[in-house]
Amino acid sequence: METERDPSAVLAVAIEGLSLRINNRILIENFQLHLPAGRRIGITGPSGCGKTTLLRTIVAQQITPPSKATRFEFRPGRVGYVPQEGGLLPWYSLQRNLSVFAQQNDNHKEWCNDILRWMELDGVAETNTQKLSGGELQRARLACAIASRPSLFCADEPLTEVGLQQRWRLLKAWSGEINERAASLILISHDVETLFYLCDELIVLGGERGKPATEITPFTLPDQNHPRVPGQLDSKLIESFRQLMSRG
Amino acid sequence: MVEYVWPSGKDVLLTTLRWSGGVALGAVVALCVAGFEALLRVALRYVRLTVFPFTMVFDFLRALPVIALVPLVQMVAVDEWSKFALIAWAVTFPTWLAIRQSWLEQMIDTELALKASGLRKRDILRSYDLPKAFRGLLRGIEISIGIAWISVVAAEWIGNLRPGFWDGGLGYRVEYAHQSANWSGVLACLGLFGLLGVVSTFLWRTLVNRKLRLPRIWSIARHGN
Repeated sequence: METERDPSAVLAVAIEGLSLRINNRILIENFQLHLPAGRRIGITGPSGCGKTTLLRTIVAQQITPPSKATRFEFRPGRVGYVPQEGGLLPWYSLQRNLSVFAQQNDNHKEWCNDILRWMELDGVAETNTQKLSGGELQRARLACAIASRPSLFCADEPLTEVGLQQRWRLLKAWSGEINERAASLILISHDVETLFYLCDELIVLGGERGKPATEITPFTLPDQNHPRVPGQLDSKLIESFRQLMSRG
Repeated sequence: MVEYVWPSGKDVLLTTLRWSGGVALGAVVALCVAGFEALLRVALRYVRLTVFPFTMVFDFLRALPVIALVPLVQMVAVDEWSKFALIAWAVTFPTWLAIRQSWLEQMIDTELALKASGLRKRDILRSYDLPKAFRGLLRGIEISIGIAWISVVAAEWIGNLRPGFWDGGLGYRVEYAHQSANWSGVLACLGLFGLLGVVSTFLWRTLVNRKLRLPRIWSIARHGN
């Protein structure tokens, strides 16, 4: 039920005994997460088990009753949130959105231009975000999260609508940025390859259908170096993880 | 006789002036009321209320029909300002409701992303809350354009005790044409009202789309997010 814990590590997120409830329906019960600074954790599980609600609670750093936790602590710093939908200011262009998110950084204009180039969005910088395609919107959300130079990234199914080749290029660039800033990552995804590529540890949320997600299976990946080489993931390990997921 | 039963260019001008003044006044009042309500909500954010008292008062006031207010206005004052006020009354409530709806509408993930990225409250107000309320204002004015033309007729039925420049208007002409059984005159006035509605809506959209360069806000205001 608990991720590996090194008592000497500085924790970016420390959650104990979290019980998530919405309208008296219990989504997740007794959830524990100890995420050391600079570590990356992936969370997966069946649809509707409360992954997005859990991530929103972590991003807000606030528990709304009737949800409760015995410990709910965060290292001070900015959080780069990459939601599944929304997350942008629809009345502004992409460039203006980035400027809003990056405005607290020095030289933020140059910084925004760099991010646009990494995310391969420089061609649509002046386009209103409402006119972007699905893949462009996902890249724009990730770009805005990077723009604020956060110490913790919280991403919910990022880049799922981006083509495979481009996705690997972008994941590599993002992974490099996380490394450079020694940032932490909480990634929610159903895509096992993305989880294996970006994360150090994985948690499978599960349980009986219609009941709170209580079964949490920790899974530590052997390769801890980032950024990894795309296409060279351990296929046997991926297969065994898929089997573990199907039991969740 | 002809000049009394048929609408003239002056009638169109006077009605348009009353309409413009009423819409402008109503939009300003709606904006002030919405701003006051927002401040009140911030001040009372820790008080749990089943019904927000401010909303109750406004729900009571907006249910009063403009046409039913004409006798009340006639008892108090018969001048141009009372006509502007009556049109503004009709415009204020839909515009206030539209601003309020936009203001209270939550874009949960956008709010979370902005707060989590460490933006100050005043930056969030400037980049998120105010543009959101502004699109409500645009939506409210679009709705009010039609409502204001309807209320112009009621306002012009108030009458005029001091003949002069402000003596006239399409609302008067409809009534004169009706009293003299000039049905073609009534139809001419109705056609002119419809035409003014089309022209005013077209001009408003052109102003917002081209001059104010706010295509995105306009698009959201019309089609939703």
